[in-house]
Amino acid sequence: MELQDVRRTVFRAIDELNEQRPPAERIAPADDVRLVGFDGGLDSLGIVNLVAILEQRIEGDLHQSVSLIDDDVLADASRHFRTVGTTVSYLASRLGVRVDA
Amino acid sequence: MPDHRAVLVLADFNAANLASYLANDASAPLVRVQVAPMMRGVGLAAGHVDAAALDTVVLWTQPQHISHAFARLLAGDEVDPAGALDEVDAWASALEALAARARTVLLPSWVMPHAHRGFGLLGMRDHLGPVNLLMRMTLRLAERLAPHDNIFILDSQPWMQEAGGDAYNARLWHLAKVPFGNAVFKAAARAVKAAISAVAGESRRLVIVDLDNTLWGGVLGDEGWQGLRLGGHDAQGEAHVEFQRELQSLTKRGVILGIVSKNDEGPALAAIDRHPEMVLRAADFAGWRINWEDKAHNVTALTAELNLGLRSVVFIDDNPIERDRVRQALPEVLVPDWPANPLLYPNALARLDCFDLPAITLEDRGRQRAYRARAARQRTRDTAPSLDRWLSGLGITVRVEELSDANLLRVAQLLNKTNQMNLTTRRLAAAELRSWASLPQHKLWAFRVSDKFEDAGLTGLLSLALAGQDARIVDFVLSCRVIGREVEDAMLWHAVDYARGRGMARLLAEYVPTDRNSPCLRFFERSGFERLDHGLFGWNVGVPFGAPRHVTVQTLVER
Repeated sequence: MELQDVRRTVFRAIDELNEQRPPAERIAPADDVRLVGFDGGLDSLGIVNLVAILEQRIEGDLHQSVSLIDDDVLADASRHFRTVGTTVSYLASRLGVRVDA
Repeated sequence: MPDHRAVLVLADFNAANLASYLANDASAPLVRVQVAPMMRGVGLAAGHVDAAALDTVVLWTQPQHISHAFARLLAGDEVDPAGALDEVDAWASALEALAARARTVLLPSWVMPHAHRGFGLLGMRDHLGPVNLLMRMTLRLAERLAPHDNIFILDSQPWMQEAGGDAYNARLWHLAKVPFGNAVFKAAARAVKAAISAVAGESRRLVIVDLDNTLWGGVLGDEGWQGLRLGGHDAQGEAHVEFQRELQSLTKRGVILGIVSKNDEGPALAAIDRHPEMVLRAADFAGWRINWEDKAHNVTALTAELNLGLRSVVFIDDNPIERDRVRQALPEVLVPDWPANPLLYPNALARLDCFDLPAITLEDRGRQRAYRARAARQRTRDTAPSLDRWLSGLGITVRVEELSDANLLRVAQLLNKTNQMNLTTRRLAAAELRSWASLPQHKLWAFRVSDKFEDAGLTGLLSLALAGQDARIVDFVLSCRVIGREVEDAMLWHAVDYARGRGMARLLAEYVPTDRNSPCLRFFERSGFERLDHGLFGWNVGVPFGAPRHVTVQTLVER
């Protein structure tokens, strides 16, 4: 598995998440787009949806099983899912994919 | 947002994801969604909700929150089913109260709580099996709500099946109290939208199909009708037969069939009537355009011939280029993506939810026959020496009746589906219509039309609002199936006659234009009514309105 596989999975998850969002609030699939925190588009249910979709996609697309969030959803989310790019990096690290490849 | 339907989502769980899919899905009808705070039990239906201002209330509950007995059973206790059914009755009463305040209430059916496999071998056992009890509870609820024509239970099982392993998501449940996966909510949102369209009378009514590689396998011009793949010991041939059976079953739900195909008409009709495995014969189609012209042009012409609007049409063709052509040229026509594999055709048709109806009337079941009668009538028109002679030979009878429980559904359907001969295009659910008509200052009549070719059934509706010396026509609605045979005149004659009997001075009719009801304006312009203002017509009731010369009117109502 390579970083581009992880990025593709994240982008697909964002596409799926966007189906629940009005056109003006859809998230662009670009590394520097904010997801969580100041200027981020996701509220707490949005974060939970993103995590749930990502976990499903990792199982479906990448055939691996991971739990992306531990106890404190918002704290974890603000660390790992701050932007699209940090989300890709976090997933890569959890899946053992080299980020600098 | 005038084109958006207002929907309220009530649930005993976090239903924000359903609301998001409903609000952000770009397909028609567009909806504006409110989500009420999560609440459990009877209070959910009895809350202070201004339901009357909404088109639709979606009320989604989990059975363990409605019935304590069911919850105890899930926990392993033995329970008396009668207790659970009493709780369902209490829930049904709360729903009835809600339905009295709302136009339409949609209830997704109960499902077993996530990850509960129902105690295996004991699942269907009386007193012990949760599956057994849930089925009984669901049936009890359906029976209790059956008399109410604005409450519908939506079957949620297909949504669960479609979602498969994603029907439940532990992350969503434990972190957000969302009991189903998003795949379930996506399917539910589609079903809710289909239901809203159906209740609003926006169901599709005409399926236009291609012939080669659609209705049958193979190309008629190349292989002759004997060489077509249809039935026989052949998977693809059987799939085409099954596809035809699905089309045939639609005709029993008020859908009519048409053909648009690039072929020579003679050989194509011969194939339809001669091939021994054909399920559908030429008489099963209301009309066709079998020629080598552009298909978008042919779809338009056939739809016009059948007096329908393009919004009524579904176009099915195996060729993606033809589909794209019709989709681009006629955006109102529904052109579903169609599978390349003919084995998938029957399922692709069965999955379309655009034909759903809130009720099936006798008129729906007989629509295909009516269109055939209409073709026979038209042939006599084409050969008659004059319009007058033709009308006098038809033996037209119009029977007038009051609104009643027996005809309410059909009258509401007519009100909500008729576009062309419709004075004001007022849309009301059946319960609202009954309530409106029950007021003493309102009058409503239904008109049944028959002639020597067919009994067209209940095809006309006229309502009046009485105020002082004026009677105002609120609804003047006539099915396109009977337009142009003096039935319109008979309806006006009846209304004037009634107003005269009541000692009124004027009968007024105000035309409210839409993009489709100009036939109604043209009728009033030639009706003899005086044009009082731009869209306002009036009749001095002191003068009798001329009785239609070719129509026998049977008035069986109290004056």
